[in-house]
Parts: sequence; structure tokens; C-alpha cells
Amino acid sequence: MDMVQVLGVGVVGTLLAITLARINGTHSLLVGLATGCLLLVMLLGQAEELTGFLRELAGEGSLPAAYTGRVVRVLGLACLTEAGSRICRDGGQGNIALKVELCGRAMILCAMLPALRELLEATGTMLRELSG
Amino acid sequence: MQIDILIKIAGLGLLVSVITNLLKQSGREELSALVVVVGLAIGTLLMLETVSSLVETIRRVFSLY
Repeated sequence: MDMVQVLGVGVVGTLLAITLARINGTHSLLVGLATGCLLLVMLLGQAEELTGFLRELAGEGSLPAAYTGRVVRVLGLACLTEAGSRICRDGGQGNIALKVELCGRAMILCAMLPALRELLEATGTMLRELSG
Repeated sequence: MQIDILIKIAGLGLLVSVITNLLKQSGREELSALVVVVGLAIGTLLMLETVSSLVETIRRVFSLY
């Protein structure tokens, strides 16, 4: 990730979006969306190394690979949800943004459901052993 | 260069607004609405590649699906 490139894309995108905002609001939103996508693609090239390192670290420790996989997946879902909801909010549609966030939360919860079940089972057995 | 897509979309927006103004002043409101819709469609098509590359990268990096 070249920082100068990121800076250039961000500043030029902002300038174009501001210029267009008064003339043509919809296209200003499109410019904002394209800028965000370009910046995220630049970021994710770097994030691939980071997630690889995270998996490697978890593989060396005693953490099961399934758990790190889930955590990384939730990270991706959160990233997508945030990007989508911010775009909607930029367009002035807070209502749609709220629904996008709600869907993202529900999907994250669904992705973490097996872990949640394991946690509840572990808590249940612990309580049973304590009381019995 | 990646930045040219931003300039393309911004130029398209300017062009659409100029055409819309011209059509409105010549009294063709229905055509100007059509031009706005077509401009939006072309802008979205221009962006499609960027958005799809973003989604693909996110899928690959975070191993979604």
C-alpha cells in the first residue's frame, strides 16, 4: 500500500465529490462510493498479510483454527456492513443504513452461533458441576 | 491508473447536469429525467468492476463463503 497513492485517491475523490454535490447529488454519491471501494481494495491487499499472520499465530498456539477462521470472517462481515451503511448514510438515507446495519449484525450473530452454543453448553456443564 | 474511474464518473455527472439543464430550458422535462436515469446507469456500470473487485477481495481475505 503506497501511502501517497492512498492520499491522492482520497483527496481527489473528496474534491470531485464536493464539486459534484451542488451540481449533481447522485453522481457525487457514486464518486464517494468509487473512492471508498478503491481505498478499501488498497487496504485489503495489506490486510491479507495480516490475516495470514493471525492464522499462523493461532496455529502455533493452542487456539483451534476454526475459532480464528470465525473471527476473521466476522471481521470481514463487519467491514462490509460498515462500508454499506456509511454509503447509505452519505446519501441521506439513514433509514436504509439502519436496516443494513441490522442485517449485518444478524449475519454476524449467525456466523458466531456455533461458538455461542459451545459457550452456553460449557457454562451449563460448569453450573451443573458446581450445583451437583 | 486507478484514479481515472473517479474522474470519469465526475465528468459523467457534469455532462449529465449540463444536458439536463439544456433540455429543461428547451422545455423537454421528460427527456431530461430520462437523461438523469441513463447517466446514473452508466455511472453504476463504470463502478461495477471496482465494487466487484472489492467484494471479491473481501471474500478472499476474510474467507467468507
